[in-house]
Amino acid sequence: MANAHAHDPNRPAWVAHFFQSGEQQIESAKFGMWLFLAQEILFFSGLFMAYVAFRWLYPETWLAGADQLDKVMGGINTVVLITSSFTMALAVRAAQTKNPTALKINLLLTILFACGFMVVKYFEYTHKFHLGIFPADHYAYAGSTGLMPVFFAIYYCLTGLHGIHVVIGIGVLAWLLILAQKGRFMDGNYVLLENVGLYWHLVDLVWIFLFPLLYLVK
Amino acid sequence: MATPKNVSHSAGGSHAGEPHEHITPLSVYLGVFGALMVLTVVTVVISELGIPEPWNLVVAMIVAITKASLVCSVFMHLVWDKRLNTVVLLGAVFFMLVFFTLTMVDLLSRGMVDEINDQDVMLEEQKAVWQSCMDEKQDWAACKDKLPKGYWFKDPNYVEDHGGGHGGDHAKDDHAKDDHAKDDHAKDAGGH
Repeated sequence: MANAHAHDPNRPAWVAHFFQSGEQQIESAKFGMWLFLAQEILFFSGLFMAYVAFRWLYPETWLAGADQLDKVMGGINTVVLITSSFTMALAVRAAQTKNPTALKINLLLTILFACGFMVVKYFEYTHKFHLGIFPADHYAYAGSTGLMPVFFAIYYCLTGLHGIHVVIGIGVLAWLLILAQKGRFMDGNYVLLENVGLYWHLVDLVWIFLFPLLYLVK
Repeated sequence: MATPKNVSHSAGGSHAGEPHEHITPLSVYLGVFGALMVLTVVTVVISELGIPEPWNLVVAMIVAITKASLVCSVFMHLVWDKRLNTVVLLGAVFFMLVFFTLTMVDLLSRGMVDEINDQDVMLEEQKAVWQSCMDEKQDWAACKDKLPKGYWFKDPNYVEDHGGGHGGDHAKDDHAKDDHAKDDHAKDAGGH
């Protein structure tokens, strides 16, 4: 039997034949993205578990470890990442209101804030490497007490994994910007943009927890 | 089977076939953005107050969870989405808490002997020895040997001695292990 709804004049061209409607297609895509995000949460939870266990075992090390981190740098990065989440939400809104200029500007701002985050992270990391603060057995910074190598092993793993997510985010956002430049997302089919947005908000969410846990132990 | 690509659509692309969407007012986004900024300042200020150890973490987590809820519900559109997506998120959080709980139950109830690896877990006395070395020398490398073997950092030169019990004689092996455990429990009782 032929696809009856394929002849529906109200059916947008971008709806695949195996979906009943555009709404069903979009909701399926979003549901898939949420399943991926659930996996991401559990992926990060292993490192958070290591953090919880070692903080419980060595609370005094965690106090001393947080002293080695720059609260101002961490705070700036928190503000930068929350702002990038805000501009990402505005980018999705621009697709909804069919405003291509606002979409491109907001995507570009999101990418710039993401790059700004990585620049701050670069200065933080290089400063620590200069002092000899390396993770675990490579730790070579005299003048600190406690199980600092463990603290910094966890610090580098958590912020490093988060940093990798930011870098991937920059790449995907740049791809979206190219698509937006070609005039995409203006026909109501912007679920790809929404899903990348969801990923980007998750990166923000992880940092919302990392900032107080690592920088603000006191 | 006919593919939609081959089907001609009425010109103009009527909006009737598109999903109904919720366009969040700009004021809502701005409000959430402002709230997130205020809460960031709040969490920094709270950390400067010097609240004692377990409670500072509790307060910091309450603020972080509030921020996360704002991001999830408004920026990630969960309020206007199908409930199924919220269920997926809360499901992930639930399983994360199961993971944390079971691991902490293990850590809190492990006692002083790791019976699986048949070795002592760092005793308070050993920790004190290592700590005093660190206080004196202020050098990680110089005090590394003070950590018990097989503890958080495995010494590559350390050969584990299982008392030659690898032969497959399980009864004997288990018996030897029991004796060892008893010894450790005795030490444990005496030490504390």
